Amino acid sequence: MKFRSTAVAAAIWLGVAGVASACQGTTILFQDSFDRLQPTWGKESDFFKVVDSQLEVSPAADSYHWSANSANLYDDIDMCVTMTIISQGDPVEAKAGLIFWYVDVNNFYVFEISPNGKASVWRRQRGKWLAQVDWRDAEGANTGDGAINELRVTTVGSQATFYVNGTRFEEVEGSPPENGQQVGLFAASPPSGPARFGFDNLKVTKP
Amino acid sequence: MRLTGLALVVAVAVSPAGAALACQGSQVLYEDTFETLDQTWGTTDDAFFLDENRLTIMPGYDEYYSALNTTGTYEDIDLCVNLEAIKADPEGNSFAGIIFWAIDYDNYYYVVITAEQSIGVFRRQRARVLPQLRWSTFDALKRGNGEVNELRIVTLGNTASFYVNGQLFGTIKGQPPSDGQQIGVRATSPRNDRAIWAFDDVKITAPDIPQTQ
Repeated sequence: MKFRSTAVAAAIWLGVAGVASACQGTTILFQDSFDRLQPTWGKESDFFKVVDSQLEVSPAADSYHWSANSANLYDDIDMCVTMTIISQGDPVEAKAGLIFWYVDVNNFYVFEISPNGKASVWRRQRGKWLAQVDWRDAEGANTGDGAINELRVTTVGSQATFYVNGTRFEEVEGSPPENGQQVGLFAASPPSGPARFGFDNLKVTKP
Repeated sequence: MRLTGLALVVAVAVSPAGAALACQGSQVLYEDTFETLDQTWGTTDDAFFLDENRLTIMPGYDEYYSALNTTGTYEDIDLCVNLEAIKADPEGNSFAGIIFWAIDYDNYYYVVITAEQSIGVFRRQRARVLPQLRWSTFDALKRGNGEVNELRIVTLGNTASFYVNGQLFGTIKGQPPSDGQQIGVRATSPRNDRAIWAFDDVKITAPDIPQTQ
């Protein structure tokens, strides 16, 4: 789906259309345009559902939700997704992004962006959150309600590189799972109320 | 080996022999009614044996048992089998079913049922389990020990469709092996008991592709 119901969102969408599908690899390992919720994403719910061919994630206030896709395990990847800030609530505390190097619910990495244009990278290890890249401005990030950003993560061996709308944000050395990674999506709502994020055109290619 | 103490359960099992071979394809690629255990299933042991012309699996406590048939590899298939829950626990912690799109024992897909009308489809990839169609209740499944359910899988390209007693359960898109698939069987016991599942009338046909205009 590429139709937006508000003029503002449509204008912002046109602004990033040129870099929308920026995964660079030629071999597609997985892709999802969210025409329906694939069973490998898990069960649909009030806060995790497909609306107008976009996956909408809206965790309850002061909570987060993530879903790792179970279609495949991957080695190195070049992964990208188009993410819309449908309604932010608190622009600092709301965040959403891409999960990679996923092993299980207590062990994965996540690249997150906030509606205020900042991004960070976290590792969840044995159930604890460990900052890998502290929150800082992501050059080129679109901000506010209706903003659309393309997030991209590449993992090659133990190196992960992060991009926002085609601009390199950061690179880290980490610990990829030994036997292949799952990938997924993540969103968090601030204490003041649920934020809503939309995901579309998820693509995983071989770097 | 004969199972003792289970004769009454076996006697009341209703075998839908007339509907058993419901694979739709006209070309038979493989079939087995388990009058003897073909060597391509491997060797028997206390968890894997023939009983009353059925391939019977009785995994150890809290274990699963899988067996890939080595007769050949297949491209697209229409596979069906009769599966009886001889002794499955009432909490649904025991399940059994068919393996397909198998490369080896660490890489395959499988569809499994419980005796409590639950069914799920999973992928075993690099020895990890990835849900493809999560556990759900399906009314077409017959409930309880002594009941026989017919499972059918049709794989066409990268699509696999699953039927129970003739009714479609679901369809997935996946990654079939590039050079042909093996098929097999699998069963799991709960923590505190050894479940018993029996397979019969395995048949693989080449799917008949519907004619198009």
